[in-house]
Amino acid sequence: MTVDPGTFSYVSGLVHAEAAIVLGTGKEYLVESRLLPLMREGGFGDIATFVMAARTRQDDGLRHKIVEALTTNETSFFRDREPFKAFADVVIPELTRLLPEWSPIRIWSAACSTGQEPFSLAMLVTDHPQLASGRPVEILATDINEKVLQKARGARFSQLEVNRGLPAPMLVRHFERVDTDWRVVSQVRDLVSFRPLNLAQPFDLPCMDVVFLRNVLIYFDAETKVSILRRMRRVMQPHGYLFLGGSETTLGLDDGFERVQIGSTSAYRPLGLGGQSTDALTSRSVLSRLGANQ
Amino acid sequence: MLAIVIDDSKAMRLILTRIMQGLSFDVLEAADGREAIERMEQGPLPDVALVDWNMPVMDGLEFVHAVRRHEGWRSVALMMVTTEGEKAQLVRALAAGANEYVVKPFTPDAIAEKLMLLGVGD
Amino acid sequence: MPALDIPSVGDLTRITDDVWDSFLETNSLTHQPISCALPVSQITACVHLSGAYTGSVMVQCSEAAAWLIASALFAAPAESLSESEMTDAIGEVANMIGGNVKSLVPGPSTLSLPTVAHGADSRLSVPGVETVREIAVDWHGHPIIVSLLQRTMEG
Repeated sequence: MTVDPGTFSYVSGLVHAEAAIVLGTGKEYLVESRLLPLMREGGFGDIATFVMAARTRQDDGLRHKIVEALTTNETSFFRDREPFKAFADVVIPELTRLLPEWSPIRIWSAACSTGQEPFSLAMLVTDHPQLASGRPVEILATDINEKVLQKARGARFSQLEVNRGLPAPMLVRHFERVDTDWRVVSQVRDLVSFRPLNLAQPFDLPCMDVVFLRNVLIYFDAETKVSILRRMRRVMQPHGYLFLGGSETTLGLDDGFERVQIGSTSAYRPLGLGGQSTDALTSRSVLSRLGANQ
Repeated sequence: MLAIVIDDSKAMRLILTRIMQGLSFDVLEAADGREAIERMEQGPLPDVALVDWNMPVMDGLEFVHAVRRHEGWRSVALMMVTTEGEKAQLVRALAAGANEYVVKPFTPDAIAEKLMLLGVGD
Repeated sequence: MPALDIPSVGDLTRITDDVWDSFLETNSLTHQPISCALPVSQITACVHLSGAYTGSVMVQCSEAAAWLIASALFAAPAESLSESEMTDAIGEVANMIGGNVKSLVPGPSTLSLPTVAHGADSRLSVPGVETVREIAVDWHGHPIIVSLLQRTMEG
């Protein structure tokens, strides 16, 4: 079954209007695979008929389901490993050295999907020797898709999901079995709060020390990417770290970040006013935390 | 790189062998823990063993204990691939010296990712 | 007698779906009412649980379905497989379903190695057990029945 141009055009228009996501030519296979289950569920014979029904009905239930199906991103625990290694081995130690004991560390998982990414970060935080002193750590996890957020809040994962990328010793330490699933234990779960947020719309958040914005920029057009990165920079601490997906970069989109190599991965740090690199801003960030005037 | 696949089900051995060959491993097979130990004593030492739990003659947990008692076999990574899914069983296996654990059913990606976690075949 | 904690229909369904999705064919099972007929020449693969829980998990299907399952697991045409390879495959399916069921019943219990029988409805020949949970799924027109049998309290 293939998606005809008219159907594809409608669906990509809908998803762009609702979520600013771009489904260009070549993405027909994605529309097909994501809509097939919905088509079957609704008892429709083919995708064109299903989409036409969604298009013509008064209530937007089906249209909403289409947008949800196309904004659900694949995720897994410790995806790509290296950024998480960089987070635990370099970023956290640096932040604990930089920030006073009482100062919370704020982390944002900015397209958290079903929750594996923020819970991976929460597990690393729980295990980290330099965070054992009880310094507050807050992990904010957001996504545009309410359905995945609901699943993420439940903190329950299937056997198939925990088989992926999660070291067995961590599974044993941080999860308990509930029926056929594994659920994150409360000590780890409580570090994460989930909230809906549309990156393509203005957002107002406290300043973040670490941001994971992985494998989501690719879905937006250049203009939206630029505005997201600009707004991202405004909510990041000068000493902060931004992690993007493996093939993503701020190059050509925002020159307010400098790329730093950490092990075999890279991260992006806000350039200070006047283009100063972040090393020079160390004392400034400490002072800003203390509320001193600059 | 060399792997040994240990399971009393021929179908499961085949599935795991195909996955490992796809990851560029040479693969030995054994139908139970005892046979696996014998093969390891005879020939080249595998880099990783994928081992089922419930098998006749010598089960997977006994195999893990036996390998870990062996001074010269410290380099062999042990990954259990089993239907035993209770947390207590995972704890037992890890305490006995297993390095990783996959509960059946699993996808090929799960095996590949666990191998990367072990640093085998990098 | 207090009822033991046993898996729900949803649990059995999820377990069976996971096995099919991982090794056979994704999203290929549909669910239907219990009363579907299996042909006389059927295959029954069984694993037994003993310990804190005493019972059996059975997977029943037609011979044709069993050969298809074997063909998928061995990634080879059914004609090229032997009878023992077919029973090995259906036995491993029962093993995987049974193992996951074991995690849902009171423990600790041990799982036996699978046994596979041809022909007769094995439920009738196992004394002192009753079916406490059962689902029927359809795989491309082939009915597949997954049941949990438990020692009757009086047995």
